[in-house]
Amino acid sequence: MTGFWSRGRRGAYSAAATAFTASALALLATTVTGPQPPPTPPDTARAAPPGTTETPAPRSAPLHRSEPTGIRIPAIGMRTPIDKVTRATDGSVGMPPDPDHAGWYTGSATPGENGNAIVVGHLDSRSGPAAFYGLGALRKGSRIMITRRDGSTAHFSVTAMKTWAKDDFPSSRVYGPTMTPTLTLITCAGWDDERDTYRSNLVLTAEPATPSPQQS
Amino acid sequence: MKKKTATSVTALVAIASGVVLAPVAFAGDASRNGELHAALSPIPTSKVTGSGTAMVHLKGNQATVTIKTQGLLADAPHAQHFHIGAKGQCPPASAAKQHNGQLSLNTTDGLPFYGKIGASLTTTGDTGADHSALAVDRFPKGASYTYHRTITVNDETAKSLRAENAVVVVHGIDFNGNGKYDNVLGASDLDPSLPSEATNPALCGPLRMAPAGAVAGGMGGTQDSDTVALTAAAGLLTAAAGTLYLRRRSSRQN
Repeated sequence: MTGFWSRGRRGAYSAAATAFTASALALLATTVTGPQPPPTPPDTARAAPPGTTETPAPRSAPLHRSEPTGIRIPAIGMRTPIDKVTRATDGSVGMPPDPDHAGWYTGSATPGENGNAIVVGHLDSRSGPAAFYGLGALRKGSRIMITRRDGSTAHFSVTAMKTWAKDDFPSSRVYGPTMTPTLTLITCAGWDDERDTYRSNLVLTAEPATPSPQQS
Repeated sequence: MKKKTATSVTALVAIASGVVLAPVAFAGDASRNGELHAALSPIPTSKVTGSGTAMVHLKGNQATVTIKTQGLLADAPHAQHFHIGAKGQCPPASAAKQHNGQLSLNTTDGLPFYGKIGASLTTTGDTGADHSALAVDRFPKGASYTYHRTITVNDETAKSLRAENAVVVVHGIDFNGNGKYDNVLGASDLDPSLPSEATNPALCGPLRMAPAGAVAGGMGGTQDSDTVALTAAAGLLTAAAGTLYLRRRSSRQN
């Protein structure tokens, strides 16, 4: 941060202008090749018989409570800050104002400590891909790293992917507390052309994993 | 499509000027009934390695409570309560003191964090704070148990639950690992006729309002026709030009 600001306002303006121009050109390129729909989760994500929870294997001790600051998913080249989000007026988890950021629900566990840590993100904004655009391309075993305020990193591995219809969403199952550290990532899925909205939520479950040398 | 283009332009102007797009979230809502969740973790210095979960469905003063545990002292009763009226937190390791020559954390040491008892989560009969706090014959027994009961809580406890200020505390530890409650930590701070191990806090979890329903995690920007993307590109280029103009101005001022 210091490096960025020490360049002064002029530097910052230039950097912003460059970034904007780059984004614009990238968008133009996308337009030429046609719009890219987000990657779709595997078909297995759709089949969802209730009560099929697997017994987790024994693992190392949970981390202490420390709020998350960023998320990194090497498999889809994703890295973005995590903001705090609370409940929206309708009772759902609020979304981060910046669609390129992820949001951690402050009423949930912090990633790595005992319990269910809930992190949400936009699939897309009005103008293009957002923070969790690539989530559907992940598979069981994909690695997720969460950096935390205490300087530690919590390492996770995807253990389940499910797509749930918004009008039949199993809130207790998705948001329910867990006895061991669990990471739940949620974004939208299932575009409905007629209603001009997403019909479903993609829910990824991840459990603690040992850091892998090439990805840490 | 024309309508969509207009919307896109507005949205882009908003982005470029740093205006927040998503609806602002509020910490509470009007109905104030609903679901509270807690993950139960070991109290520091207690030597407990277990864990648990708590779910509370609150409707008026009716609380339907589900608590699951694992890894507690087997064949022993575990007192469990809603604690209320303090910080709504679990005590950190720094709250531990010397008890009978051992650094440990008894129920009194945790009071500044989780507060006094608001309700006793007994299996049958009274659930009050006064008469049932240590009703050892009416609490769940064992290392792993599932507790499920609908109780009526007093107004103060209901208010604390709604304010996300209530904490679930499960008591009963085996500090010296000998498989029973004994006097290794001296007599209980709550009832001198009981060993401290029997009443010391074991698992703790602050109850927080749980979300309900699916998230609104997309606006469709990757699903629309080319018009949207073209508009977006144009908007970003305009923003870039604007920024460069600002840059010029600021350098002139310098």
